[in-house]
Amino acid sequence: MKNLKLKAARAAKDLSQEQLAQICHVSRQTINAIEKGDYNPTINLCIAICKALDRTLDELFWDD
Amino acid sequence: MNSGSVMVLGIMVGIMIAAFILTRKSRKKEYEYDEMQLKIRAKGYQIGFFTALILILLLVFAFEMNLLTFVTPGFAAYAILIISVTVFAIYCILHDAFLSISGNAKNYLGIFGMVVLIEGFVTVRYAIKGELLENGQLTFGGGAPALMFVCFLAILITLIVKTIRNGKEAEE
Repeated sequence: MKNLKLKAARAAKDLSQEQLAQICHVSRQTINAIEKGDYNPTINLCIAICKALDRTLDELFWDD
Repeated sequence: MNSGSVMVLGIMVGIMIAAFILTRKSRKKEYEYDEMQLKIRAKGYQIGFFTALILILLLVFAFEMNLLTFVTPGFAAYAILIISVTVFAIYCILHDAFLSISGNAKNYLGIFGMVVLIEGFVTVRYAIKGELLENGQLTFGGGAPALMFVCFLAILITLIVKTIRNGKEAEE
């Protein structure tokens, strides 16, 4: 399932996938795979993404 | 092994050392591959290993049944090794786990392009001289450059296609 919340949060911060990837020390393709729902990140990477985007885990990774 | 084979082996070792030095310079100790890439590479190793295993079984069967008369056992064993590594490399390239996080595709394109050119040149030279086959069998001396040419060409084409596709994806 696509993670549209992550994509929206990244766009709100005006960051490209490449820029977010650099902040989180991962490849752009990994960020792309998470947004497309092709890869489930570990909790460490989720936290790194949340910190980079100033969001909580619930806001980005919790499905209602 | 004849002098031609020794020369080819020397060129191959030289290229490997050059590639190792070139990639080592830009290597970062931390975060070389991210978690998704490591997971994909683990799967790639598994696929490469099982490819080798299946090919070895087929090879034993083919030699027992006298089906593989056009290659020497030595070259067949070498081919299995190279094919498994190629399968691993192509799997990693297709799943974005071949290049490290800070890796640059252009460096690899240059190195692989150079290997393809050299191996292609050596293969053509062997073919012109009629030394690809010995007693109707593809030997290590003649077959190794041809196999390396085919495998590196496959890796190079995959890397080019993937680089173009990733570039387009990044633009979107």
